[in-house]
Amino acid sequence: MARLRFLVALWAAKATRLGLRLLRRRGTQVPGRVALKLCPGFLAQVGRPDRVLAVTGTNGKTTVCNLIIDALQLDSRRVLANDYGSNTLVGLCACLAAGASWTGRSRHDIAVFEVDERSSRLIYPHLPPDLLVVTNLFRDTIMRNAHTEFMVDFLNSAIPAQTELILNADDLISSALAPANRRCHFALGRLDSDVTESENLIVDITCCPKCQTELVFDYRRYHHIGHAHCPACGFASPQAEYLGQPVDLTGRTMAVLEAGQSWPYRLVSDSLVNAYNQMAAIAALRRLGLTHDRIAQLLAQVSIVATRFGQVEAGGVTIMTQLMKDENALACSRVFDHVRRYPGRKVVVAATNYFAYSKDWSENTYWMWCADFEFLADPSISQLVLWSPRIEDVLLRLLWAGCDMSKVEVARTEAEAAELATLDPEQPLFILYSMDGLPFAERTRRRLVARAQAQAQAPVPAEALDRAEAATPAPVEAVRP
Amino acid sequence: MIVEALFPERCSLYADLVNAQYLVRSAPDLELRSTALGQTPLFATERPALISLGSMTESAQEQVAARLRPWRERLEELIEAGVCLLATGNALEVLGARIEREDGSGFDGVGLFPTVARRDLTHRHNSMFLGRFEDSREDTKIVGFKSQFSHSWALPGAAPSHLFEVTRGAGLQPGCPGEGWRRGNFMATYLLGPLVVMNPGFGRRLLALMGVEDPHLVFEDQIEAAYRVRLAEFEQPGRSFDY
Repeated sequence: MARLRFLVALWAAKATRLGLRLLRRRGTQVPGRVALKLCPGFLAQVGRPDRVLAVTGTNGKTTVCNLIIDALQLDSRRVLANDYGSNTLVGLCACLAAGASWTGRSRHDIAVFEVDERSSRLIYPHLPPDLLVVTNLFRDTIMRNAHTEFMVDFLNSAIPAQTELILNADDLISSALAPANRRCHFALGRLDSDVTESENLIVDITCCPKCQTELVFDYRRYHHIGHAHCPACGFASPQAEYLGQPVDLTGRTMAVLEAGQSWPYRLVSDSLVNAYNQMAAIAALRRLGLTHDRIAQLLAQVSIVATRFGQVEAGGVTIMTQLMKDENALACSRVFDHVRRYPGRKVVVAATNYFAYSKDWSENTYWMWCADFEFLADPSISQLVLWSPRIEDVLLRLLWAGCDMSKVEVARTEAEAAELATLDPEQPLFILYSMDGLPFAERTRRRLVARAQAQAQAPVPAEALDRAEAATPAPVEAVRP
Repeated sequence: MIVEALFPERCSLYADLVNAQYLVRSAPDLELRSTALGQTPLFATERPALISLGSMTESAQEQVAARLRPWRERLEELIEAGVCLLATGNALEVLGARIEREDGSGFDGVGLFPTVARRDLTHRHNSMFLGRFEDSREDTKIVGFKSQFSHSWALPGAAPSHLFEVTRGAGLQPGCPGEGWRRGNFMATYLLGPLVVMNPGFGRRLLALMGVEDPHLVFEDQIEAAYRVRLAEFEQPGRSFDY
């Protein structure tokens, strides 16, 4: 009877998926909901591939998943993967239903699942992963994840004893997860940009988790990411089996050390965060049995998913779009830091805050006071164009950050944001967008591309030539709505 | 005049420290000093204009309560002397009589307020808050946010002494007409994070209570503009307060 119930649920899920596709609807969760409604134990009964790899963590899990999936598919493996966004129980059920045969057997060699941290307890007991990559654990959205101690306790209660962990040795919080489990660590070696004092507002671990003595950071990369030790009890960051060293972000190269040997890699992006993501993917692929030479060859063919990081050239202007995941103050800080460190002067068009929230309730803006808006005050950012439903809060935060407000322009409409931005081939332009700001980013990029192309074809105005000759561009008047 | 930030390395989970920082930057006579968890509090020997304590993890609550309990008598003296204290988020609970876990176990708070907190880590309460802050000189509308695993109740027989009057949203516990607790100038609220930044009128009143003459807040025009927008949103009848 239980078997029949499962099969009915499976077929219903498959039929729902087919129906949605015929209607050209995405609906990644709906078939999973149908399956669970008809058979609550669906996840435990549906066929699983030979190996299951899960990726979780506060930041980077989508990128790490995509790198692993792309590499494995290029390696001709049959990979089952949950689509972008469907990293909860219903999403995984939908994915497994789609990937199973009509009798419920798996048709794939391996499953690579992105798993939302808060969904761990619902998923892992029924689908224990063979390998679990934890990218990092940081303070995340206040409403669901509260704080890192809560998330550590939550994950520790969910991770099955048989699961092997792939952990970030440079993250003192996630590297200590499920201490009884088999594990390996990845890390990045010393960088020229390392510091010892924190530049960030958020530091989620400052005291030794064993004896509460203040930790000493031998070097710090950002927030609590780095290498630390306790001067009292000897607690220290773990040693990494997979170490990226040296790392050349500008030249986009990295060597990976393992057991005393070194292999060259091309970095998939020039950001430090993505270097960590790539190291996590390399460690996972190594645990799946691929050689370094093969992994390097495969990763040289993949790129970061364009919805989160994209770059186009138009009329000589480099235009980059980047998701900043507002409400997740740390993710915003990482993006602001990346923009700040990007070589040369640059222009930023930022759509901050959730647009959907402004209709029905009010966004809790505490995160803006945790995020390092100070990085946007960096003099290398010559113009900051803002489009936000919480513009007054953003302006206050920038004032507090010591930002030169003469470089700030406030767009009264979405279209105006693209009009106000300075297009200068000497200055790359960043479009930063919030979690529901992707449509804005895409439309703004199209407008800017059109403007840049038109500008490149038009004769160069005299004032633009004057500006190009000046040591610093003229300050831009702030415009208030 | 000194503003003492207690244990900022553990007690500023949601930017709560910005309250003290904003007040200090608004008044040149104020100086911010931080006390780490392992240090003797400054208030033990001095009389700060303000003591601030912000949101913390559940394990930190236990450590902070243990750290402050020996200073209860001194804190009582400071209340009598009119010293200001601002506790935000679950720091409120630490100043109360007791914090109880789901299984009935718990630990004592500092005991300054006759309140008991009950924790439920399986249910996080998230909501908006609209209320009023009334004292002898001020009647200010308060806006803020809550995100917490616990609520508090007054101990049986304790006379209510809430910090804010509830207009919309949850009080000390859902349904309670008052939010937070106040004893003298010791003020505690579940509203977390940068409360002063969201409520310039409350911030100015706090400065006045701290002894700052002609109190003004830094970036006053902008902080007022942000407050007006938020208050207008919170006062719209159709706004959902729970999420």
